[in-house]
Amino acid sequence: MHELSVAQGLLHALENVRRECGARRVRRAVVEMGPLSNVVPELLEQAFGTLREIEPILTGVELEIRWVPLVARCDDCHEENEIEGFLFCCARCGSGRVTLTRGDELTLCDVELEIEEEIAHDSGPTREDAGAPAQVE
Amino acid sequence: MTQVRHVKMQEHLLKSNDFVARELRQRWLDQGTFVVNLLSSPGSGKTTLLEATLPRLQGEHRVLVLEGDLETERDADRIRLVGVEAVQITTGGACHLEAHVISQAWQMLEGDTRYDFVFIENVGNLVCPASFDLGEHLRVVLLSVPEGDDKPAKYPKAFRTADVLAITKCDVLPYFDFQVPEATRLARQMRGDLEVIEVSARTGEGLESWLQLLRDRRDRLFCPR
Repeated sequence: MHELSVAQGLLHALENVRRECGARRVRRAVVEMGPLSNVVPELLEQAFGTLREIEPILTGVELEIRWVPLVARCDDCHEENEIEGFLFCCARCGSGRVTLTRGDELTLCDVELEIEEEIAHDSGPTREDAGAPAQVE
Repeated sequence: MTQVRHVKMQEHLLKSNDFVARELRQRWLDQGTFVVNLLSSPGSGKTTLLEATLPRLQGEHRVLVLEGDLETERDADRIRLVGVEAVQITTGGACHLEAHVISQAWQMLEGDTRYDFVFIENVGNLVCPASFDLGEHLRVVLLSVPEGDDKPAKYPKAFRTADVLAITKCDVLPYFDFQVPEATRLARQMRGDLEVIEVSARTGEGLESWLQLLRDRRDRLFCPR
């Protein structure tokens, strides 16, 4: 049950991005994960739900989990195919020399923030350790 | 007025663990310490393998064991009984070790002693520990004969992230349906260049190869040709 550790990682990531953007609250978070993340989506949802009850920052945050398939590119025939049953070989030519291109993600990829315009101006400097600013659309 | 903003990002959820792990790996590299993370299900013989081999390694090298367990000092006591220094890390119920726990334990330890080998015995569990980089230079997954040769197919991440598979309790192979070639085949489907060794701590079979593997891997890192 390491999903609680993962949910805590998500909490910290969300708090960082909220602070960086001077947002009032987080509305929604999208997490991509694949079979090699070793995380069970339902258990992550449960762990996140538990944290949401005790962490005010997470109040009302909606979590969306996007499941990513296991995909590998063949080093010999260069074709990219979905991997089934964790058999790391090329579905086309059978080669065992494949490079994983998708499926080990455990990534926060999209966040929806609520920003109070006036407050955003008065919120003062954000902390230095917030990391590089995320790309804002 | 409330405005809604979408932020696109790519942030791994175990980023803080991986950050601490990278720092640890570099620190150990600078100190000449080779760190091995042992992973397996409970009862596959991690402590027994260490008991049987570390006294021999200690003749030539300074060795330390970090023992991860939910509770008790039992495993650390067993290691100390064979004359090897051990530190018990109790996770208080957590099913795996994380890099910051190792980092804290290491900070308490750091003194004049320079270790050549540190063995981290992870909490017995083939699932969760596989996700957490502890800064080790070598990850070894143990699979004991009574567990069955199909385990690599059932726990892909543990076998995919390991550098070495040690098949333990090989002395009981005649009594089980465990097929070493099948376990090897399944494990190499997860990782093609996985090194596989067979050992029995009870009879001593394969222990010299295990020790040689450890010395070779350490030399490869610190004394590259």
